Amino acid sequence: MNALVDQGLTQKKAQWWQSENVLPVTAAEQVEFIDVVRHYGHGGAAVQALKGINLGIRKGEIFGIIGRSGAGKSTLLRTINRLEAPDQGRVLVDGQDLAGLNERELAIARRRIGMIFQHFNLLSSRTVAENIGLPLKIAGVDAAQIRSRVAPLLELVGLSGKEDVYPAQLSGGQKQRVGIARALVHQPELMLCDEATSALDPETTQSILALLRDINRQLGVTIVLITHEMAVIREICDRVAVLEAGHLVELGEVWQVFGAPQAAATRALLAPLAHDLPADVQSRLHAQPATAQDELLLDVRLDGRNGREPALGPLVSALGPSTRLLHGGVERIQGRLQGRLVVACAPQAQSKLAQLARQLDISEQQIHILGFLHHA
Amino acid sequence: MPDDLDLYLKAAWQTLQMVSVSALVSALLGLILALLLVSTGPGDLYPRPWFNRLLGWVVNIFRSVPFIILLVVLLPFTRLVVGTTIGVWAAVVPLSVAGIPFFARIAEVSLREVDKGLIEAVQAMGGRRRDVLWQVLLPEALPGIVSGLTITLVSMIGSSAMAGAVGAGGLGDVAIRYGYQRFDTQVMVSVLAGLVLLVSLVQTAGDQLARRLNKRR
Repeated sequence: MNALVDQGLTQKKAQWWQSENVLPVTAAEQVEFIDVVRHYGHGGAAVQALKGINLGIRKGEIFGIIGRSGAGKSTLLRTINRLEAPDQGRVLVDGQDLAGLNERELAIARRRIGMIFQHFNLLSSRTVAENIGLPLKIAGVDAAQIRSRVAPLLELVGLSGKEDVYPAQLSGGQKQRVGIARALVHQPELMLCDEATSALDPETTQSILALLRDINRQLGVTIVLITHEMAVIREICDRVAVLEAGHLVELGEVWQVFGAPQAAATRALLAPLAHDLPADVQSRLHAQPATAQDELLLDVRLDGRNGREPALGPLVSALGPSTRLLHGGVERIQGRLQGRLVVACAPQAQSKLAQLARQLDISEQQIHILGFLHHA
Repeated sequence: MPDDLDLYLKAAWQTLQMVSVSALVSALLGLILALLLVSTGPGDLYPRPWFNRLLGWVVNIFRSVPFIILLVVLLPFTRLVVGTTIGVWAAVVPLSVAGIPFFARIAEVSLREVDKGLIEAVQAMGGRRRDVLWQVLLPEALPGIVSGLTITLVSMIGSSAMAGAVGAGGLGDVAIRYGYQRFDTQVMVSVLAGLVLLVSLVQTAGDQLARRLNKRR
């Protein structure tokens, strides 16, 4: 992944970018949704895709919008560059409402907003270089200048030498790199990613996400991405919004939302990532102890609020020497520790949970009694 | 019995003249018609539903009239356009009038099949509707349009056989007058062989051009 940074963004290139990007800072928020409503169809058959969304996306952040298919995330993303017009409410991009613009003005405003797509949407009849240069050609830039601006972008996305190749000869990951270069050619301050990695295999997904993160960090481009994969959000987003049936049901820092999801929709989306109990443990789990040998089963959540790795000492000292770790794991999201431990211990330890919470530096609500593990 | 070779060459030249001029006119006007059809429907780039429906009707009317009838019905119009109702030029008018809507419908299908995602991408990058037309729809549909033009050409070679009715001559006319009406099997077979050769040539050339233009593989 470091190789990516090497072949991509050098300090020099980042300067080249900033020197030409001289747009004035006018608003604190890059994108602002104000009571955005969008419906499809008319009268009784009308379906509301967005039911009053209020949301601010900050400059320079990577903002994720997640939800099941049909939750409205794609519609919400498209209201930003006005590929879809809201029926009510306003969408401000850098303080500007695109609603009042005529066709020409809207086209010019859209140059500040790059966009990449799930299926790449490259023109099959044009070469890689022609695809990347198309936004400039449309804007009336002359051929020589297009060439000089496409070359560094090819290098940036790691596709030097492929300029005269047609998209059909590229792999999925390479096509998305062309898409990214094309989205950056106007040096936008904002980039929209519509399920940009959903058509890619896991390994390619990682390299594309790494490239997006580099673009965000080094070029300062605000990124708004929609996805149905929580893993993508966890990988690169700073903040996340969860959409469910056209409503915004959860919003926050990614580590917070992952550590302590509030909405049912969020928990459902997180389920594939959660460490569920192994089947044999599940089958021996009961609400009440049956014999004296039965062990108490605890679920300890680490939600990232404390930065420390869980020390095993307190576990044993609070719960007793017979304590066993049955299941779980920890991982780091945005540098914060997050995870879940499932431990079995003597039933008497039930009175020591407050002590355990204190020693692990977590709140008591993060320790759940799952039940009693029956010994066959 | 006329001088065979001379007869064939003259007829072949007449067919080539009729078909090439009519094809050129059909390609040009048919493509414009196709662009109008794909861009004025409801939800299209320049929605004009009533105009679109009217255009559709006109196209369907011309598409449903048999060519031999069109040839006769159009006589006044032909005189108006080329100043005569006999000869090669008199055949070009009805051939074109039949070819324009035929080709327009085929080109329309190719244009409609262009991925909507590409249109969205070009709009998102700051493209206007005319950019969608010229930078996306036309170049992306070009291989299909070329294939459609090939079909139009072949069908036009077939229709040109009836152009003898207005004295335009051509290979088909020779086949009907010498081969069919005078039971001259040799002429019939030779002319048919020539037509098969011509159609094969057009089809092969069209296929190759379409394949070369298609960068999707």
